[in-house]
Amino acid sequence: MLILGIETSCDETSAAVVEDGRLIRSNVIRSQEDLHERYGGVVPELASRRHVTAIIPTIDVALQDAGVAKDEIDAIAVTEGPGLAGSLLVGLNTAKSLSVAWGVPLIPVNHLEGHIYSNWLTDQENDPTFQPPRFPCVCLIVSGGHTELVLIRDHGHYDVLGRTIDDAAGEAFDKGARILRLGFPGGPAIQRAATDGKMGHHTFPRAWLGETYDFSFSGLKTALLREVEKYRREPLRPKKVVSTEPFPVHEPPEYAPNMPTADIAADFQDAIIDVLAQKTAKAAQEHRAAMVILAGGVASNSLLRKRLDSLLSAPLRYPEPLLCTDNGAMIAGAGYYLYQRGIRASCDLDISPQLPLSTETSLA
Amino acid sequence: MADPDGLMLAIDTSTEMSGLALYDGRRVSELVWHSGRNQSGVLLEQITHLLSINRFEIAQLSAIAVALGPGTFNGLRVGLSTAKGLGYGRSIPVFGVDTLEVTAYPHLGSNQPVRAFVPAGRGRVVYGDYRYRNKRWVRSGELQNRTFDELTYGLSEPTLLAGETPANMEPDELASENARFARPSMRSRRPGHLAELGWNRWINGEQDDVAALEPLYVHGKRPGS
Ligand SMILES: [Zn+2]
Repeated sequence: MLILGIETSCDETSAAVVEDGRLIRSNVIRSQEDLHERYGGVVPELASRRHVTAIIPTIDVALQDAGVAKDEIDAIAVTEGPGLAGSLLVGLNTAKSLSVAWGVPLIPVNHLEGHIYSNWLTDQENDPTFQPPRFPCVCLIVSGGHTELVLIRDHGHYDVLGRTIDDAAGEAFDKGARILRLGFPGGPAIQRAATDGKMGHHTFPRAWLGETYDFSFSGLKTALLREVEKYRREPLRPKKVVSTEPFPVHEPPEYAPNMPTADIAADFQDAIIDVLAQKTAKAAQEHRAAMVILAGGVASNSLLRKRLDSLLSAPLRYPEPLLCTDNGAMIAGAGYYLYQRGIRASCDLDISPQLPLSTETSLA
Repeated sequence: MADPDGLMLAIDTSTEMSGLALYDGRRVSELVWHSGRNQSGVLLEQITHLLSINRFEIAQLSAIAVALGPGTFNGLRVGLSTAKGLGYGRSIPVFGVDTLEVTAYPHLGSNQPVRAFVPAGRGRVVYGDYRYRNKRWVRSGELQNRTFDELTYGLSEPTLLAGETPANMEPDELASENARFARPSMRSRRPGHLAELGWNRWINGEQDDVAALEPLYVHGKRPGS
Protein backbone atom coordinates (compact mmCIF):
# COMPACT_ATOMS: atom_id res chain seq x y z
CA MET A 1 0.00 0.00 0.00
CA LEU A 2 1.44 3.37 -1.07
CA ILE A 3 0.67 6.38 1.11
CA LEU A 4 1.54 9.97 0.25
CA GLY A 5 2.38 11.81 3.48
CA ILE A 6 2.15 15.61 3.67
CA GLU A 7 3.57 17.65 6.54
CA THR A 8 3.49 21.45 6.91
CA SER A 9 2.99 22.02 10.63
CA CYS A 10 5.93 24.37 11.18
CA ASP A 11 8.77 25.49 8.93
CA GLU A 12 9.47 22.44 6.77
CA THR A 13 7.39 21.71 3.69
CA SER A 14 7.57 17.96 3.24
CA ALA A 15 5.99 15.19 1.21
CA ALA A 16 6.89 11.51 1.03
CA VAL A 17 5.77 8.20 -0.37
CA VAL A 18 5.93 5.28 2.07
CA GLU A 19 5.09 1.65 1.33
CA ASP A 20 3.22 -0.35 3.96
CA GLY A 21 4.16 2.00 6.80
CA ARG A 22 7.77 0.90 6.62
CA LEU A 23 9.69 1.43 3.40
CA ILE A 24 10.50 5.02 2.45
CA ARG A 25 10.17 5.34 -1.32
CA SER A 26 10.81 9.09 -1.20
CA ASN A 27 11.01 11.80 1.44
CA VAL A 28 11.34 15.38 0.22
CA ILE A 29 11.97 18.02 2.88
CA ARG A 30 12.14 21.68 1.94
CA SER A 31 13.60 23.42 4.94
CA GLN A 32 12.99 27.12 5.51
CA GLU A 33 15.96 27.68 7.81
CA ASP A 34 17.47 30.24 5.41
CA LEU A 35 14.26 32.25 5.55
CA HIS A 36 13.93 32.45 9.33
CA GLU A 37 17.57 32.77 10.34
CA ARG A 38 17.69 36.58 10.34
CA TYR A 39 14.66 36.69 12.63
CA GLY A 40 16.29 34.37 15.17
CA GLY A 41 13.33 31.98 15.06
CA VAL A 42 10.37 30.86 12.99
CA VAL A 43 8.11 33.72 11.88
CA PRO A 44 4.71 31.99 11.48
CA GLU A 45 3.40 34.29 8.74
CA LEU A 46 6.55 33.83 6.64
CA ALA A 47 6.45 30.07 7.17
CA SER A 48 2.87 29.93 5.83
CA ARG A 49 3.85 31.98 2.80
CA ARG A 50 6.70 29.68 1.90
CA HIS A 51 4.46 26.60 2.24
CA VAL A 52 2.06 28.04 -0.35
CA THR A 53 4.71 28.16 -3.08
CA ALA A 54 6.65 25.07 -1.96
CA ILE A 55 3.81 22.58 -1.52
CA ILE A 56 3.15 21.50 -5.12
CA PRO A 57 6.81 21.16 -6.21
CA THR A 58 7.50 19.21 -3.00
CA ILE A 59 4.68 16.75 -3.69
CA ASP A 60 5.65 16.50 -7.34
CA VAL A 61 9.28 15.66 -6.54
CA ALA A 62 8.16 13.15 -3.90
CA LEU A 63 6.14 11.26 -6.53
CA GLN A 64 9.01 11.46 -9.05
CA ASP A 65 11.64 10.31 -6.54
CA ALA A 66 9.43 7.37 -5.63
CA GLY A 67 8.88 6.56 -9.29
CA VAL A 68 5.15 6.59 -8.67
CA ALA A 69 2.38 8.01 -10.85
CA LYS A 70 -0.46 10.05 -9.35
CA ASP A 71 -2.95 7.22 -9.85
CA GLU A 72 -0.77 4.71 -7.99
CA ILE A 73 -1.22 6.47 -4.63
CA ASP A 74 -3.62 4.48 -2.43
CA ALA A 75 -4.21 7.04 0.33
CA ILE A 76 -3.07 10.44 1.55
CA ALA A 77 -1.97 11.09 5.13
CA VAL A 78 -1.72 14.66 6.37
CA THR A 79 -0.80 16.44 9.59
CA GLU A 80 -3.93 17.94 11.16
CA GLY A 81 -2.10 19.32 14.23
CA PRO A 82 -0.57 20.36 16.51
CA GLY A 83 1.31 23.17 14.84
CA LEU A 84 1.11 26.68 13.43
CA ALA A 85 -2.39 27.38 12.08
CA GLY A 86 -1.35 29.21 8.91
CA SER A 87 1.17 26.49 8.07
CA LEU A 88 -1.15 23.55 8.81
CA LEU A 89 -3.84 25.10 6.56
CA VAL A 90 -1.67 24.80 3.47
CA GLY A 91 -0.81 21.12 3.78
CA LEU A 92 -4.25 20.09 4.98
CA ASN A 93 -6.22 21.84 2.24
CA THR A 94 -3.84 20.62 -0.45
CA ALA A 95 -4.13 17.07 0.89
CA LYS A 96 -7.93 17.23 1.10
CA SER A 97 -8.30 18.45 -2.47
CA LEU A 98 -5.81 15.84 -3.73
CA SER A 99 -7.82 13.11 -2.03
CA VAL A 100 -11.00 14.35 -3.78
CA ALA A 101 -9.16 14.81 -7.09
CA TRP A 102 -7.77 11.27 -6.99
CA GLY A 103 -10.70 9.64 -5.21
CA VAL A 104 -8.50 8.12 -2.49
CA PRO A 105 -8.97 8.05 1.31
CA LEU A 106 -7.62 10.83 3.49
CA ILE A 107 -6.02 9.96 6.83
CA PRO A 108 -5.65 12.64 9.55
CA VAL A 109 -2.39 12.31 11.49
CA ASN A 110 -1.33 13.84 14.78
CA HIS A 111 2.11 15.38 14.23
CA LEU A 112 3.41 13.83 17.48
CA GLU A 113 2.21 10.40 16.42
CA GLY A 114 4.11 11.03 13.19
CA HIS A 115 7.32 11.67 15.14
CA ILE A 116 6.83 8.40 17.05
CA TYR A 117 6.44 6.44 13.80
CA SER A 118 9.70 7.76 12.39
CA ASN A 119 11.10 4.81 14.37
CA TRP A 120 9.21 2.33 12.18
CA LEU A 121 10.76 3.56 8.92
CA THR A 122 13.64 2.37 6.80
CA ASP A 123 14.91 3.19 3.34
CA GLN A 124 16.33 -0.30 2.77
CA GLU A 125 14.12 -2.79 1.00
CA ASN A 126 15.91 -5.78 2.56
CA ASP A 127 17.59 -4.76 5.75
CA PRO A 128 18.17 -7.78 8.04
CA THR A 129 19.24 -5.50 10.91
CA PHE A 130 16.01 -3.51 10.80
CA GLN A 131 13.85 -4.07 13.85
CA PRO A 132 10.76 -2.03 14.58
CA PRO A 133 10.22 -0.92 18.21
CA ARG A 134 8.78 -3.40 20.67
CA PHE A 135 5.91 -2.68 23.05
CA PRO A 136 5.56 -1.44 25.66
CA CYS A 137 7.95 1.33 24.81
CA VAL A 138 8.69 4.73 26.24
CA CYS A 139 9.13 7.49 23.68
CA LEU A 140 10.71 10.88 24.31
CA ILE A 141 9.55 13.37 21.69
CA VAL A 142 11.85 16.39 21.82
CA SER A 143 11.83 19.17 19.26
CA GLY A 144 11.54 22.92 18.89
CA GLY A 145 7.81 22.68 19.49
CA HIS A 146 7.40 19.67 21.76
CA THR A 147 8.75 17.85 24.79
CA GLU A 148 6.58 14.83 25.62
CA LEU A 149 7.30 11.61 27.38
CA VAL A 150 4.90 8.93 26.15
CA LEU A 151 4.22 5.36 27.15
CA ILE A 152 3.13 3.34 24.11
CA ARG A 153 1.44 0.05 24.97
CA ASP A 154 0.49 -0.87 21.41
CA HIS A 155 -0.16 0.82 18.08
CA GLY A 156 -2.38 3.81 18.83
CA HIS A 157 -2.33 3.35 22.63
CA TYR A 158 -0.66 6.41 24.11
CA ASP A 159 -0.30 7.54 27.72
CA VAL A 160 1.37 10.91 27.93
CA LEU A 161 3.41 10.57 31.13
CA GLY A 162 4.67 14.13 31.10
CA ARG A 163 5.26 17.17 28.96
CA THR A 164 6.80 20.58 29.17
CA ILE A 165 4.86 23.14 31.16
CA ASP A 166 6.53 26.07 29.36
CA ASP A 167 9.27 26.00 26.68
CA ALA A 168 10.03 22.94 24.59
CA ALA A 169 13.57 21.55 24.89
CA GLY A 170 14.37 22.58 21.32
CA GLU A 171 12.98 26.03 22.04
CA ALA A 172 15.35 26.32 25.01
CA PHE A 173 18.23 25.46 22.66
CA ASP A 174 17.00 28.09 20.17
CA LYS A 175 16.77 30.78 22.84
CA GLY A 176 20.16 29.81 24.25
CA ALA A 177 21.78 29.94 20.83
CA ARG A 178 20.23 33.35 20.19
CA ILE A 179 21.69 34.71 23.44
CA LEU A 180 25.08 33.12 22.73
CA ARG A 181 25.09 34.35 19.08
CA LEU A 182 25.41 30.82 17.78
CA GLY A 183 22.77 30.96 15.06
CA PHE A 184 19.53 29.18 14.22
CA PRO A 185 18.40 26.44 14.69
CA GLY A 186 19.87 26.35 18.15
CA GLY A 187 20.15 22.63 18.95
CA PRO A 188 22.88 21.72 16.44
CA ALA A 189 24.56 25.13 16.98
CA ILE A 190 24.89 24.65 20.74
CA GLN A 191 25.98 21.04 20.37
CA ARG A 192 28.70 22.15 17.95
CA ALA A 193 29.93 24.94 20.22
CA ALA A 194 29.80 22.67 23.28
CA THR A 195 32.20 20.09 21.80
CA ASP A 196 35.09 22.52 22.40
CA GLY A 197 33.85 23.51 25.83
CA LYS A 198 34.73 22.35 29.33
CA MET A 199 31.84 21.55 31.61
CA GLY A 200 31.49 22.44 35.25
CA HIS A 201 32.37 26.14 35.26
CA HIS A 202 28.85 27.50 35.00
CA THR A 203 25.82 26.39 36.91
CA PHE A 204 22.40 26.17 35.38
CA PRO A 205 19.22 25.22 37.21
CA ARG A 206 17.44 21.92 36.64
CA ALA A 207 13.70 21.97 37.15
CA TRP A 208 12.84 18.51 38.47
CA LEU A 209 9.20 19.37 39.26
CA GLY A 210 9.04 16.82 42.06
CA GLU A 211 8.21 13.26 41.12
CA THR A 212 6.37 14.17 37.92
CA TYR A 213 7.47 13.47 34.38
CA ASP A 214 6.80 17.07 33.41
CA PHE A 215 9.52 19.41 32.20
CA SER A 216 10.27 23.10 32.53
CA PHE A 217 12.98 24.93 30.59
CA SER A 218 12.01 28.59 30.78
CA GLY A 219 14.20 29.23 33.85
CA LEU A 220 17.28 28.33 31.80
CA LYS A 221 16.97 31.41 29.63
CA THR A 222 16.98 33.72 32.64
CA ALA A 223 19.96 31.89 34.12
CA LEU A 224 21.84 32.12 30.84
CA LEU A 225 21.15 35.85 30.55
CA ARG A 226 22.56 36.30 34.06
CA GLU A 227 25.63 34.26 33.11
CA VAL A 228 26.51 36.35 30.02
CA GLU A 229 25.60 39.70 31.58
CA LYS A 230 29.16 40.53 32.70
CA TYR A 231 30.46 40.12 29.14
CA ARG A 232 27.75 42.19 27.54
CA ARG A 233 28.68 45.31 25.55
CA GLU A 234 26.70 48.15 24.12
CA PRO A 235 26.43 47.69 20.37
CA LEU A 236 28.98 49.76 18.42
CA ARG A 237 26.53 50.53 15.65
CA PRO A 238 23.52 52.50 16.87
CA LYS A 239 20.24 50.65 16.28
CA LYS A 240 18.28 51.73 13.25
CA VAL A 241 15.40 53.88 14.44
CA VAL A 242 13.06 53.31 11.52
CA SER A 243 12.56 49.83 10.14
CA THR A 244 10.79 49.17 6.87
CA GLU A 245 10.71 45.44 7.63
CA PRO A 246 7.19 44.04 7.99
CA PHE A 247 8.60 41.55 10.54
CA PRO A 248 11.04 42.52 13.31
CA VAL A 249 14.57 41.36 12.56
CA HIS A 250 16.66 39.81 15.35
CA GLU A 251 19.50 42.08 16.52
CA PRO A 252 22.17 39.84 18.06
CA PRO A 253 23.69 40.99 21.36
CA GLU A 254 27.37 41.95 21.53
CA TYR A 255 29.90 40.52 23.99
CA ALA A 256 33.50 40.96 25.07
CA PRO A 257 35.84 38.68 23.06
CA ASN A 258 36.96 36.80 26.17
CA MET A 259 33.51 35.34 26.85
CA PRO A 260 33.93 31.55 27.24
CA THR A 261 31.07 30.75 24.83
CA ALA A 262 32.01 27.09 24.36
CA ASP A 263 32.18 26.41 28.12
CA ILE A 264 28.87 28.15 28.73
CA ALA A 265 27.27 26.23 25.84
CA ALA A 266 28.54 22.93 27.27
CA ASP A 267 27.00 23.52 30.69
CA PHE A 268 23.81 24.92 29.17
CA GLN A 269 23.39 21.84 26.99
CA ASP A 270 24.12 19.56 29.93
CA ALA A 271 21.36 21.17 31.99
CA ILE A 272 18.77 20.36 29.32
CA ILE A 273 20.03 16.87 28.50
CA ASP A 274 20.44 15.86 32.15
CA VAL A 275 16.75 16.35 32.95
CA LEU A 276 15.56 14.76 29.69
CA ALA A 277 17.75 11.68 30.16
CA GLN A 278 17.03 11.11 33.84
CA LYS A 279 13.25 11.43 33.53
CA THR A 280 13.17 9.18 30.46
CA ALA A 281 15.26 6.52 32.21
CA LYS A 282 13.04 6.67 35.28
CA ALA A 283 9.88 6.26 33.17
CA ALA A 284 11.40 3.32 31.30
CA GLN A 285 12.18 1.60 34.54
CA GLU A 286 8.82 2.31 36.18
CA HIS A 287 6.84 1.01 33.18
CA ARG A 288 9.22 -1.87 32.37
CA ALA A 289 9.72 -0.62 28.85
CA ALA A 290 10.91 -3.21 26.35
CA MET A 291 12.51 -0.38 24.44
CA VAL A 292 13.10 3.36 24.67
CA ILE A 293 12.71 5.37 21.49
CA LEU A 294 13.58 8.97 20.66
CA ALA A 295 11.90 11.29 18.17
CA GLY A 296 12.05 14.93 17.11
CA GLY A 297 14.92 17.25 16.26
CA VAL A 298 16.64 17.04 19.67
CA ALA A 299 16.79 13.23 19.27
CA SER A 300 19.81 13.95 17.04
CA ASN A 301 21.72 15.34 20.02
CA SER A 302 24.62 12.95 20.67
CA LEU A 303 24.97 13.86 24.34
CA LEU A 304 21.32 12.86 24.88
CA ARG A 305 21.92 9.48 23.22
CA LYS A 306 25.13 8.88 25.14
CA ARG A 307 23.62 9.86 28.49
CA LEU A 308 20.54 7.72 27.95
CA ASP A 309 22.59 4.72 26.89
CA SER A 310 24.47 4.86 30.17
CA LEU A 311 21.28 5.13 32.24
CA LEU A 312 19.03 2.59 30.51
CA SER A 313 18.78 -1.16 30.88
CA ALA A 314 16.29 -1.36 27.98
CA PRO A 315 17.63 -0.91 24.42
CA LEU A 316 17.59 2.60 22.97
CA ARG A 317 16.40 3.29 19.43
CA TYR A 318 16.38 6.53 17.49
CA PRO A 319 15.76 7.51 13.87
CA GLU A 320 18.47 8.73 11.53
CA PRO A 321 18.90 12.54 11.66
CA LEU A 322 16.79 13.23 8.56
CA LEU A 323 13.83 11.45 10.15
CA CYS A 324 14.24 13.42 13.38
CA THR A 325 13.27 16.65 11.62
CA ASP A 326 9.68 17.22 10.56
CA ASN A 327 9.09 15.09 7.47
CA GLY A 328 6.34 13.62 5.33
CA ALA A 329 7.55 10.01 5.65
CA MET A 330 6.74 9.88 9.37
CA ILE A 331 3.22 11.16 8.60
CA ALA A 332 2.75 8.51 5.91
CA GLY A 333 4.17 5.89 8.30
CA ALA A 334 1.78 6.77 11.12
CA GLY A 335 -1.00 7.09 8.53
CA TYR A 336 -0.54 3.47 7.51
CA TYR A 337 -1.26 2.18 11.03
CA LEU A 338 -4.21 4.58 11.40
CA TYR A 339 -5.56 3.31 8.08
CA GLN A 340 -5.25 -0.29 9.32
CA ARG A 341 -7.41 0.70 12.30
CA GLY A 342 -10.04 2.16 9.97
CA ILE A 343 -9.31 5.83 10.57
CA ARG A 344 -10.46 8.08 7.69
CA ALA A 345 -11.20 11.79 7.45
CA SER A 346 -14.11 13.23 5.51
CA CYS A 347 -13.70 16.33 3.41
CA ASP A 348 -14.80 18.63 6.26
CA LEU A 349 -11.56 17.85 8.14
CA ASP A 350 -10.09 21.01 9.64
CA ILE A 351 -6.78 21.84 11.28
CA SER A 352 -6.29 21.37 15.06
CA PRO A 353 -3.40 23.64 16.09
CA GLN A 354 -3.59 22.45 19.75
CA LEU A 355 -4.30 18.77 19.08
CA PRO A 356 -3.06 16.65 22.02
CA LEU A 357 -1.67 13.13 21.65
CA SER A 358 -4.18 10.64 22.96
CA THR A 359 -5.47 7.14 22.39
CA GLU A 360 -8.32 7.08 19.88
CA THR A 361 -11.70 6.69 21.50
CA SER A 362 -12.28 3.51 19.48
CA LEU A 363 -9.29 1.90 21.21
CA ALA A 364 -9.72 3.27 24.73
CA MET B 1 -6.90 27.39 -25.17
CA ALA B 2 -10.25 26.96 -23.56
CA ASP B 3 -12.20 23.86 -24.37
CA PRO B 4 -15.65 24.80 -25.76
CA ASP B 5 -17.08 22.09 -23.53
CA GLY B 6 -14.89 23.14 -20.64
CA LEU B 7 -16.04 23.60 -17.07
CA MET B 8 -14.35 26.14 -14.84
CA LEU B 9 -14.52 26.19 -11.04
CA ALA B 10 -14.03 29.60 -9.41
CA ILE B 11 -12.90 29.78 -5.76
CA ASP B 12 -12.96 33.00 -3.73
CA THR B 13 -11.95 32.87 -0.06
CA SER B 14 -10.57 36.40 0.16
CA THR B 15 -12.91 37.40 2.98
CA GLU B 16 -15.45 36.01 5.43
CA MET B 17 -17.92 35.86 2.53
CA SER B 18 -16.78 32.83 0.59
CA GLY B 19 -17.89 32.11 -2.96
CA LEU B 20 -17.78 29.37 -5.56
CA ALA B 21 -18.93 29.29 -9.15
CA LEU B 22 -19.14 26.79 -11.98
CA TYR B 23 -18.97 28.26 -15.46
CA ASP B 24 -19.05 26.62 -18.88
CA GLY B 25 -18.84 29.82 -20.94
CA ARG B 26 -22.65 30.10 -21.12
CA ARG B 27 -24.16 29.37 -17.74
CA VAL B 28 -22.90 30.22 -14.31
CA SER B 29 -23.92 28.53 -11.04
CA GLU B 30 -22.92 30.29 -7.87
CA LEU B 31 -22.68 29.52 -4.18
CA VAL B 32 -21.99 32.36 -1.76
CA TRP B 33 -22.12 32.01 2.02
CA HIS B 34 -20.90 33.66 5.17
CA SER B 35 -18.08 31.32 6.17
CA GLY B 36 -16.51 33.58 8.76
CA ARG B 37 -13.01 32.32 9.43
CA ASN B 38 -14.14 28.73 9.03
CA GLN B 39 -13.10 28.24 5.42
CA SER B 40 -10.62 25.43 5.89
CA GLY B 41 -13.29 23.14 7.33
CA VAL B 42 -16.04 23.70 4.77
CA LEU B 43 -14.62 24.86 1.44
CA LEU B 44 -13.99 21.46 -0.15
CA GLU B 45 -17.32 20.14 1.12
CA GLN B 46 -19.05 23.10 -0.56
CA ILE B 47 -17.17 22.44 -3.81
CA THR B 48 -18.35 18.83 -3.91
CA HIS B 49 -21.85 20.06 -2.99
CA LEU B 50 -21.94 22.63 -5.81
CA LEU B 51 -20.72 20.02 -8.28
CA SER B 52 -23.27 17.44 -7.19
CA ILE B 53 -26.35 19.72 -7.21
CA ASN B 54 -25.37 20.71 -10.74
CA ARG B 55 -24.91 17.01 -11.60
CA PHE B 56 -21.22 17.28 -12.35
CA GLU B 57 -18.37 15.01 -11.35
CA ILE B 58 -15.01 16.28 -10.13
CA ALA B 59 -13.41 14.66 -13.20
CA GLN B 60 -15.37 17.01 -15.46
CA LEU B 61 -13.56 20.11 -14.20
CA SER B 62 -11.23 21.48 -16.85
CA ALA B 63 -9.90 24.69 -15.30
CA ILE B 64 -9.87 26.63 -12.03
CA ALA B 65 -9.92 30.34 -11.28
CA VAL B 66 -8.86 31.43 -7.81
CA ALA B 67 -8.97 34.82 -6.11
CA LEU B 68 -5.46 35.90 -5.10
CA GLY B 69 -6.46 38.73 -2.80
CA PRO B 70 -5.99 41.17 -1.28
CA GLY B 71 -7.92 39.79 1.67
CA THR B 72 -7.31 37.85 4.85
CA PHE B 73 -4.04 35.95 4.53
CA ASN B 74 -5.21 32.63 5.97
CA GLY B 75 -8.44 32.74 3.98
CA LEU B 76 -6.51 33.25 0.76
CA ARG B 77 -4.18 30.39 1.64
CA VAL B 78 -7.14 28.02 2.10
CA GLY B 79 -8.52 28.90 -1.35
CA LEU B 80 -5.14 28.72 -3.03
CA SER B 81 -4.13 25.41 -1.44
CA THR B 82 -7.45 23.91 -2.48
CA ALA B 83 -7.13 25.28 -6.03
CA LYS B 84 -3.57 23.99 -6.26
CA GLY B 85 -4.48 20.53 -5.00
CA LEU B 86 -7.35 20.23 -7.46
CA GLY B 87 -5.36 21.75 -10.33
CA TYR B 88 -2.31 19.57 -9.77
CA GLY B 89 -4.39 16.52 -8.87
CA ARG B 90 -6.56 16.71 -12.01
CA SER B 91 -3.73 18.13 -14.21
CA ILE B 92 -5.83 21.15 -15.20
CA PRO B 93 -4.81 24.84 -15.42
CA VAL B 94 -5.27 27.26 -12.50
CA PHE B 95 -5.67 31.00 -13.06
CA GLY B 96 -5.05 33.54 -10.32
CA VAL B 97 -7.25 36.65 -10.38
CA ASP B 98 -6.97 39.90 -8.40
CA THR B 99 -9.83 40.10 -5.88
CA LEU B 100 -10.24 43.86 -6.36
CA GLU B 101 -10.54 43.38 -10.11
CA VAL B 102 -13.38 40.94 -9.42
CA THR B 103 -14.99 43.60 -7.22
CA ALA B 104 -14.69 46.37 -9.83
CA TYR B 105 -15.66 44.13 -12.78
CA PRO B 106 -19.51 44.46 -12.74
CA HIS B 107 -19.31 48.27 -12.66
CA LEU B 108 -17.53 48.24 -15.98
CA GLY B 109 -18.67 51.10 -18.15
CA SER B 110 -20.55 53.07 -15.50
CA ASN B 111 -18.53 56.13 -16.60
CA GLN B 112 -17.27 56.67 -13.10
CA PRO B 113 -14.03 55.67 -11.47
CA VAL B 114 -14.44 52.88 -8.96
CA ARG B 115 -12.73 52.46 -5.63
CA ALA B 116 -12.84 48.72 -5.00
CA PHE B 117 -12.25 47.54 -1.46
CA VAL B 118 -12.02 44.35 0.52
CA PRO B 119 -11.97 43.81 4.31
CA ALA B 120 -8.51 42.83 5.50
CA GLY B 121 -9.27 41.85 9.10
CA ARG B 122 -9.25 43.87 12.35
CA GLY B 123 -11.58 46.51 10.89
CA ARG B 124 -9.16 47.36 8.10
CA VAL B 125 -9.73 47.52 4.36
CA VAL B 126 -7.49 47.26 1.34
CA TYR B 127 -8.56 49.39 -1.59
CA GLY B 128 -7.49 50.35 -5.06
CA ASP B 129 -8.76 52.92 -7.58
CA TYR B 130 -9.87 51.62 -10.96
CA ARG B 131 -10.71 53.37 -14.23
CA TYR B 132 -12.09 52.06 -17.48
CA ARG B 133 -9.50 52.41 -20.24
CA ASN B 134 -9.23 50.57 -23.56
CA LYS B 135 -12.10 48.25 -22.68
CA ARG B 136 -10.64 47.12 -19.39
CA TRP B 137 -10.19 48.19 -15.81
CA VAL B 138 -6.85 49.74 -15.06
CA ARG B 139 -5.72 50.43 -11.53
CA SER B 140 -4.15 53.80 -10.80
CA GLY B 141 -1.83 54.16 -7.82
CA GLU B 142 -0.80 51.70 -5.12
CA LEU B 143 -3.12 49.46 -3.15
CA GLN B 144 -3.79 50.94 0.28
CA ASN B 145 -4.27 49.09 3.56
CA ARG B 146 -6.15 51.43 5.91
CA THR B 147 -8.80 51.60 8.59
CA PHE B 148 -12.41 51.59 7.37
CA ASP B 149 -12.98 55.29 8.17
CA GLU B 150 -10.09 56.18 5.87
CA LEU B 151 -11.79 54.47 2.93
CA THR B 152 -13.09 57.70 1.38
CA TYR B 153 -9.80 59.61 1.72
CA GLY B 154 -8.43 61.51 -1.23
CA LEU B 155 -11.40 61.20 -3.60
CA SER B 156 -11.06 64.18 -5.96
CA GLU B 157 -14.07 63.35 -8.16
CA PRO B 158 -17.37 61.48 -7.82
CA THR B 159 -16.43 57.83 -7.33
CA LEU B 160 -18.37 54.61 -6.96
CA LEU B 161 -17.31 52.57 -3.95
CA ALA B 162 -17.74 48.84 -4.29
CA GLY B 163 -16.75 46.04 -1.96
CA GLU B 164 -17.70 44.09 1.10
CA THR B 165 -17.77 46.19 4.26
CA PRO B 166 -16.04 44.82 7.37
CA ALA B 167 -18.39 43.33 10.00
CA ASN B 168 -20.36 45.94 11.99
CA MET B 169 -19.24 48.80 9.78
CA GLU B 170 -21.65 50.67 7.56
CA PRO B 171 -20.89 53.03 4.69
CA ASP B 172 -23.32 55.73 5.97
CA GLU B 173 -20.74 56.45 8.65
CA LEU B 174 -18.45 57.71 5.92
CA ALA B 175 -19.90 61.00 4.71
CA SER B 176 -17.95 62.39 1.78
CA GLU B 177 -19.24 64.44 -1.13
CA ASN B 178 -17.42 62.40 -3.77
CA ALA B 179 -18.24 58.97 -2.39
CA ARG B 180 -21.21 57.01 -3.66
CA PHE B 181 -21.65 53.48 -2.34
CA ALA B 182 -23.16 50.81 -4.52
CA ARG B 183 -26.13 48.93 -2.99
CA PRO B 184 -25.19 45.91 -0.87
CA SER B 185 -26.22 43.39 -3.55
CA MET B 186 -24.27 45.33 -6.16
CA ARG B 187 -21.17 46.13 -4.17
CA SER B 188 -20.31 42.60 -3.02
CA ARG B 189 -18.05 40.37 -5.03
CA ARG B 190 -19.63 37.57 -7.03
CA PRO B 191 -17.80 34.34 -7.79
CA GLY B 192 -19.39 34.34 -11.26
CA HIS B 193 -17.37 37.43 -12.10
CA LEU B 194 -14.22 35.71 -10.92
CA ALA B 195 -15.10 32.79 -13.20
CA GLU B 196 -15.61 35.12 -16.20
CA LEU B 197 -12.29 36.87 -15.60
CA GLY B 198 -10.53 33.52 -15.27
CA TRP B 199 -12.31 32.20 -18.35
CA ASN B 200 -11.22 35.24 -20.39
CA ARG B 201 -7.62 34.60 -19.45
CA TRP B 202 -8.04 30.97 -20.40
CA ILE B 203 -9.46 31.66 -23.89
CA ASN B 204 -6.73 34.27 -24.43
CA GLY B 205 -4.24 31.43 -24.04
CA GLU B 206 -2.71 32.86 -20.89
CA GLN B 207 -1.13 30.57 -18.33
CA ASP B 208 -0.18 30.69 -14.65
CA ASP B 209 2.42 28.50 -12.97
CA VAL B 210 0.23 26.64 -10.50
CA ALA B 211 3.11 25.98 -8.09
CA ALA B 212 4.23 29.61 -7.93
CA LEU B 213 0.79 31.21 -7.47
CA GLU B 214 0.61 33.02 -4.14
CA PRO B 215 -1.69 35.46 -2.39
CA LEU B 216 -1.31 39.19 -2.85
CA TYR B 217 -0.13 40.31 0.59
CA VAL B 218 -0.91 43.97 1.29
CA HIS B 219 0.41 45.06 4.67
CA GLY B 220 -0.79 47.89 6.83
CA LYS B 221 1.80 50.26 8.24
CA ARG B 222 3.46 48.84 11.32
CA PRO B 223 3.01 51.04 14.40
CA GLY B 224 6.07 53.23 14.86
CA SER B 225 7.39 52.82 11.33
ZN1 LIG C 1 7.87 18.18 14.89
